[in-house]
Amino acid sequence: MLFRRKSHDRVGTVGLPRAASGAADVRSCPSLAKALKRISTRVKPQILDLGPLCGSTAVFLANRGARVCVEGFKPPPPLPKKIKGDDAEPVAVERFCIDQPTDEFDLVLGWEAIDFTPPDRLEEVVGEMKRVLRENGLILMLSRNSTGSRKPVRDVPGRFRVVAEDRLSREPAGAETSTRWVHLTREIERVLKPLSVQGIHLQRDQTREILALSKPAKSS
Amino acid sequence: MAWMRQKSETEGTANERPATATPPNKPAATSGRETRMEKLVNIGQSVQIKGELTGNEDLTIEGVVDGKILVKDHSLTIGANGRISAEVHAKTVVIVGTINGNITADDKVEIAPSGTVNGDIRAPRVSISDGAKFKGSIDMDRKGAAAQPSTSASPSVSKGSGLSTPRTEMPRSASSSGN
Repeated sequence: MLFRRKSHDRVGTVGLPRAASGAADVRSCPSLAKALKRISTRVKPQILDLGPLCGSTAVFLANRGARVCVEGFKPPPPLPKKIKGDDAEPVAVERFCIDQPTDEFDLVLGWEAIDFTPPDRLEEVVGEMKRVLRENGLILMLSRNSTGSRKPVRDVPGRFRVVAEDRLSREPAGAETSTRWVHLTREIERVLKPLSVQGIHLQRDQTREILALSKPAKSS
Repeated sequence: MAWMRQKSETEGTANERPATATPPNKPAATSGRETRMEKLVNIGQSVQIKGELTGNEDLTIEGVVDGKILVKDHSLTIGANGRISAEVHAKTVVIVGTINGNITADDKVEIAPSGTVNGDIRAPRVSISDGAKFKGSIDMDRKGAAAQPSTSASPSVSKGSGLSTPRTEMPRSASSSGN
């Protein structure tokens, strides 16, 4: 007798996303839809895609009337450990910088940039994202949820292909692995200040979608 | 591939030309040389150009160009060995090699998987293949669409709306137009 899969089994397996570093899986991204809807009222919105580069995503956004800048994000290395003692020589650390002007973008697509940023450089990286953001600009970031182990793992950075305004797929960008960290939600919220966090949407695959809005400066 | 097809099209037209362009009283050897010259409408790998390069026919660059390239109404192909540090303006630009500079195309810009672009792209249609390297901005200029007389059939864009419904269908494959 043939085994017949029950309908609820199908429902339970079909929608489940694959492993983060596996093959492409199309998932919904309501925060992206929200962000695109929000900037749609602006004339020629400027979008910064921190990559890794996905040509179709850049073209998808540009095709909708936005000017899309693509910036290859290179995660900064962790800060060197402090050596106690008077004879310890200071170590020069290269400051993380996004090569774009200040107050330029309506939307910064950070994707998984923060996950590949060590905790001691998180404030610096997010600070650069905030710098390039205009008033009422938005930052969209995706991050692995902090439940369970906080141990960093080696993972291939993901490239995000936007297939619809509320749907995207993650594909491994190349074969080179990098250290992937886990940040607590409160740490992310802290570094995002003074931006207003519009929402943190937790996906079934434990990916957090974080959307933050740059508030207009208060006039005195 | 588009750039390969383009080359073969160029060759095809070049083969057809001598029959009409070459005067019948010319010796056969001269006619053959002309045919060969028309076939090879390109800048070779060992050629280096500094300054402004203008043309009125399709062009393939395999060498090094530093300055400005203007081939309006024609296509420009940067071959795998081409290294360009220039402002580029053409009808169609296909990049298999490297460009450092801004690109303006009246029709399409296509970056092949081995292509590298450091600069801003301004074109109504852009295609970036997976594996291509690009740093800069994309502005899909709608100058061509705006020049056409507006008809009731065309989708209207609300006033002040930046992000609008695309004119073309969203491509699914990496190699298709607008990827």
